[in-house]
Amino acid sequence: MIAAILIAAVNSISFILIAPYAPSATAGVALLLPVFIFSDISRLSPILYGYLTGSAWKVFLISGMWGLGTVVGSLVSSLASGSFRIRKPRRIDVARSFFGGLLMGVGVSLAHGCNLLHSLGGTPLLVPASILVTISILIGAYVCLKLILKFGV
Amino acid sequence: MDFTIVLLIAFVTGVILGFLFQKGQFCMTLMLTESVIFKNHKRIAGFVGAILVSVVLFNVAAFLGVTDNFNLLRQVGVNPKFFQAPLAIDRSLIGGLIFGFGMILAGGCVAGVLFRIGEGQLSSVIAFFGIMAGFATAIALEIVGVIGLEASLYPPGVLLSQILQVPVIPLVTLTAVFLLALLLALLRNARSRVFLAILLIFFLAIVLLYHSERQSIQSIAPPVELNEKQVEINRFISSFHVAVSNRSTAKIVPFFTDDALMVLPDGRLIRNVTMIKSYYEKEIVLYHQYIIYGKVSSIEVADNKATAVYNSGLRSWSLGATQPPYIPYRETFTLIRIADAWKIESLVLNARRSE
Repeated sequence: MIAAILIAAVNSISFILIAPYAPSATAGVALLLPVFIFSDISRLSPILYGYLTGSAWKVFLISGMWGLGTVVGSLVSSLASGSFRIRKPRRIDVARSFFGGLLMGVGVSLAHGCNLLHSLGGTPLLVPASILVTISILIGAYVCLKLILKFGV
Repeated sequence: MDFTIVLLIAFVTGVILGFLFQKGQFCMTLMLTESVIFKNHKRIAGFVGAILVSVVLFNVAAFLGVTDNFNLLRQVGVNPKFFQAPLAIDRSLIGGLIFGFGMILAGGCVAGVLFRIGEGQLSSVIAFFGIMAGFATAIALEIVGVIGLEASLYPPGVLLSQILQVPVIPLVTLTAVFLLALLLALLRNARSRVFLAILLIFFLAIVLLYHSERQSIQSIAPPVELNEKQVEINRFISSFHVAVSNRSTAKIVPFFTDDALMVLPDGRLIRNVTMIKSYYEKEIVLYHQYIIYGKVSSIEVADNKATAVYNSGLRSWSLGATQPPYIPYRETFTLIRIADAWKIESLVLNARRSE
């Protein structure tokens, strides 16, 4: 609980200062691909076009650094508390993780941002899309949990 | 500000947040699992608390102007409102549902995946690669045409208060109170009936706020009663505003007579229709998107001449601006009726103060 409040405080500062876009380090790579394939991207997606023609690569770089920092921070934290351990997943978990990650990637592209961006970056400012995305993420996750409980995947 | 310093700050905030994520095990999947399966709402209460604190801090910062003045992104030439997603209801809903589904399968939200990589969880590394593959898939689907183009109801950066047309401070206070009630209910393990009641009260309060705001607007500006001829003129001017908002000179030009006159706020005079066309061509590329609002001030109609005065405003936005700049001005049209169609004979633009 205290950690959550602290997270909120630090998060606010970081959002105000640099507005990180957590998955966009990967997004940057993926978004740059069609530029090389199709030069006329303005027809494809105006928003994407806006991202790429502006200084969006800087945003991706900043967010990439932010994401790297998160990994390093949690590495430090887990090493300090002694909970660091290379955990090998079972084979079924590998498939599940990859498929889940795939769905997350598609969802992030559709919803213009991950849960962190929407729930802690957009909802506090009352950005309507973010509120909508946060609610639908909760619904989607709830449905998936209930399905797993019922069929035991 | 040097770009490298910004990168360094991003890295440092990332490290601090990663540390806290790991300590608090801050992950949406974990808290939903605990809440739904084990009926332990502590974690989700923490999440609601985090949003509550963010609501207060964000809005205080925005109110004090910190977001505008101290934003590092702006200093390195990036639009800081980049992350405010445009409201495309279908995309947001479907994207959110798919994301929520994948989040449970992958065993962690984006924050969860990042901090579990740091903990040495290999399945999270695989989930990370899955996210990358997902991006590529989505872009491939967009190129093929399965996922449609952006169809945003509002331009990016429009906030809830602007859509509901209610003042910001009461709305934010209301949201904060709502989140606080939710937090207390979660901490006390309240029944679902209590949650529904809180939600209902929240919506009722917003409706009340909306209603009271509507009434206050109406009491300030009584609607102008228009007779039949004035309605015709008003329709003509509205279609002119729509044509300008559509950013098409081909649609704008037929509204003017060949020797039409235009006077700009800075006193410049534009004669004849070709010059007017080139003026609009230059004006249109200035903005990413804009909309013209026109409010009738007065309309006088004679047989085939008319004068109309409009209090108009131009709301423009570049991609992702939160508060689109609003440029108010007064338009005085002189209209002439040629062959059963109204044309603009002269258009005078004056600057006016915003009300």
